[in-house]
Amino acid sequence: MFLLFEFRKNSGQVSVETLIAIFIVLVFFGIVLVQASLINSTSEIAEVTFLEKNSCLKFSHLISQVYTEGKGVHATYYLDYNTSVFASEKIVKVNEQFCYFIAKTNDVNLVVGEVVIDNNGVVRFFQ
Amino acid sequence: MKKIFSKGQVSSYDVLIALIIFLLMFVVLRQLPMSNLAVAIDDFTYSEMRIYSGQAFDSILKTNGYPIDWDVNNVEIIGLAQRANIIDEEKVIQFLQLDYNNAKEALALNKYDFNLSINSVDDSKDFSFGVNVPSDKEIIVIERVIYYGGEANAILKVFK
Repeated sequence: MFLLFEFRKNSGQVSVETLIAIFIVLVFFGIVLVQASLINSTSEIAEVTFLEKNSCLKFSHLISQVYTEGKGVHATYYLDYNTSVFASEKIVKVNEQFCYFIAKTNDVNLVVGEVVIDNNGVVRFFQ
Repeated sequence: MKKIFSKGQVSSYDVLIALIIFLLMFVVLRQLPMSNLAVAIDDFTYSEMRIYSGQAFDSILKTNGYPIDWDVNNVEIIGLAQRANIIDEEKVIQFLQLDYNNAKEALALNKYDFNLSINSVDDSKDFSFGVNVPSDKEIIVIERVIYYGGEANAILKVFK
């Protein structure tokens, strides 16, 4: 009877060291988890930023090319993002990204989809 | 009883070493994606500079500019050409009188510095416009053969 009591008492016990060890492991696991999610979100933001900037640069460069090649030139491009063209600042804006172009044109807001860029002395957009 | 007590012990040196290894790995793994990101941003900045240099050079050498008879007071887009790659000397005179910052803006090189030089074969009409090119920076250099009262080389250098 005495032995059985001792056995039950010991098997239900967890030492303080074990608790501390589990706590440390959980804290480390938590830190790793938080950092991993931070890195993941940073990468996702960077990827979106790069895609937007890439689209912005391609489109602004195409506008410049259509303009510098002269009258009668036109090009077709597929926009992956809603894009605005600000003529006086010579800026193409894709969300928060903006890029410079060289062309005489007018302000225009374009939506996702195909756009025709036409040089008629002034660069125009048709969608 | 003594045996049970010793089971709960952890060597403090083992814990210390494990902690150091964990922290080192943690720092290395944390830095890896960030350094990759920095390299990607550098590559992208270089590509951006290359695109802007190309479109500025095309504007200078292939277009009349805007307005067509632009001068120092009303220039919106800089173009020195009569026709593609044939330079109009009257426009060069106007160009050389431009304020550097206005020229940068008109060439859509806002974020960058540049130097444009045209060297004719007989050296009679050589000119250079812009700031001095630093030796310690990454530079985009574009060169093209043009007609400027004879054969000439146009060189555009763009840097940050």
